[in-house]
Amino acid sequence: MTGARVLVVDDDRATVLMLSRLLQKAGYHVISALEASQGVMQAHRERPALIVTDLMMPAGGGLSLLERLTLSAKTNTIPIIVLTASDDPEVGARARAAGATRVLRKPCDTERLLEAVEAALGGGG
Amino acid sequence: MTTVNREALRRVLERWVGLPPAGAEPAVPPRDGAPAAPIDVMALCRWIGGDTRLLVELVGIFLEDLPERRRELREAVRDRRSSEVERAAHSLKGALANFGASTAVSLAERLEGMGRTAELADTAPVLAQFDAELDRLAVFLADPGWRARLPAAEPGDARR
Repeated sequence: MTGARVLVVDDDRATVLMLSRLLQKAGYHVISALEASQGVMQAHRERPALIVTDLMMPAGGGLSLLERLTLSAKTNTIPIIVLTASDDPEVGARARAAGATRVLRKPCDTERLLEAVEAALGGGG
Repeated sequence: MTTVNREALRRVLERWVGLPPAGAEPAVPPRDGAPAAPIDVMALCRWIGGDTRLLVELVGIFLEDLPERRRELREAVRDRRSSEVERAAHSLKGALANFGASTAVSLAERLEGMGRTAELADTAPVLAQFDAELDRLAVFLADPGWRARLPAAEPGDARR
């Protein structure tokens, strides 16, 4: 689904840049947010085809974002890939319970991430 | 649909790291008994697909944001705000993991755990170690010498 709009949410500017550049090079249109609440607003306004988000961020964080997007009829069909620096299986389980389509450990290699993106967008994988 | 050019990445790693791509262990091997580089170039290249221009940009952002992040963590430790210690340490851990800075990552992880369990009594020595490793990392990345080891950007790299 090249050309699809992908929202990247992370409080780390370098990670946002890295993910954005990677996804842009793969042909996606990328929008971004540096905090969860901004991500929720962007998701409602821009209706991305996919969201790639960090989990632990200030002001509610990724779990709050997942819960809020899952509760809204406008956003609850958007697949969400969670990238987390945590290796605690509980963290991944909580993210999936809150609505994450896929949970990947940071840093994750380029191909693995792009495969997950493609799969989440319905392109296989 | 993946656009990562494995061959380009392999060339980057060979030229930059000076190691064969198969079975390579340390990213930047110690030279003449010097301590190992504080980052893992291989890990970083896996993230960025060999885009060295992006790498330089990322390092710039990292160095720009690092002082504020360190200040947040130090103040959270000083004020005994455990959840803030956990969040600040986690945030640093994520940023450091991007660079494959394994020593710094494990120290951040220890601080994160102390914050999570609200056991902050023994943070001082860990924070001191963490600070020392971050200093080492900042000095390493701020030295233009490491950029000199970068290969010319590969054809097909983003030019944004």
